Amino acid sequence: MKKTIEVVNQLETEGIINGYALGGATALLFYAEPALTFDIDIFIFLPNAENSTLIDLGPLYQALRDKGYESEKEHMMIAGIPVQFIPVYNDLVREAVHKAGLKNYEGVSIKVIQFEYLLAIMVDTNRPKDRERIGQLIHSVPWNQKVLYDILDRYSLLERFKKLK
Amino acid sequence: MKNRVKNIKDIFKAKQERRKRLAGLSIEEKIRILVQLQQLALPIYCARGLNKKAWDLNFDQE
Repeated sequence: MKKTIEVVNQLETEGIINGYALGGATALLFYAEPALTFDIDIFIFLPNAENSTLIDLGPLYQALRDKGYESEKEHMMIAGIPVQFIPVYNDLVREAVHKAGLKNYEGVSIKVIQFEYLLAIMVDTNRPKDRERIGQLIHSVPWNQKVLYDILDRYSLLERFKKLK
Repeated sequence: MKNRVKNIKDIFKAKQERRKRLAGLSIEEKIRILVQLQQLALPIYCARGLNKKAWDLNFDQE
């Protein structure tokens, strides 16, 4: 995974992406017990995509192919790990990526979405597996109620969370 | 009956404690555990016709 992170950081340095943060189940590993997942979700800002309704992942995929990595369905296989690049798709995810914190994996820095934002995104996504996981996470990982409630309140998700809780 | 309820509560408490303990492991250790979980789960996914692969951490050694 170290090499995978290095490649993602390189994409940002080269300006192929305008920022990123690790999200999803792999991001949760930084805070919680290990849980099964097979891919890595990277939320990204694409250059010149802020006010565009059409999203073109072509240049990003081409840059990765030029580095010798191949696509496999919706993933790019980077150093033995399937990575899904997800352009930020709403204001909550945009804020979560902006406020991502720096973590360390085997000496390499990686931007990871904060735990409270990961919870908020799961409340927003609201799939059965998200609802099940939220119930486990809030009892096994320390979280900041003030921070989480503020996020949920601003995105009209607080009532949904309270019902899940 | 009262004892049984107490025991169930103990089981849930122990599960929660285990989760907390695992959450406290280093990220590197968690990734190694994740790959083991993937390897264990692969036959089930294959039997369901789903094409999944366990992560190859050997790339980090190259």
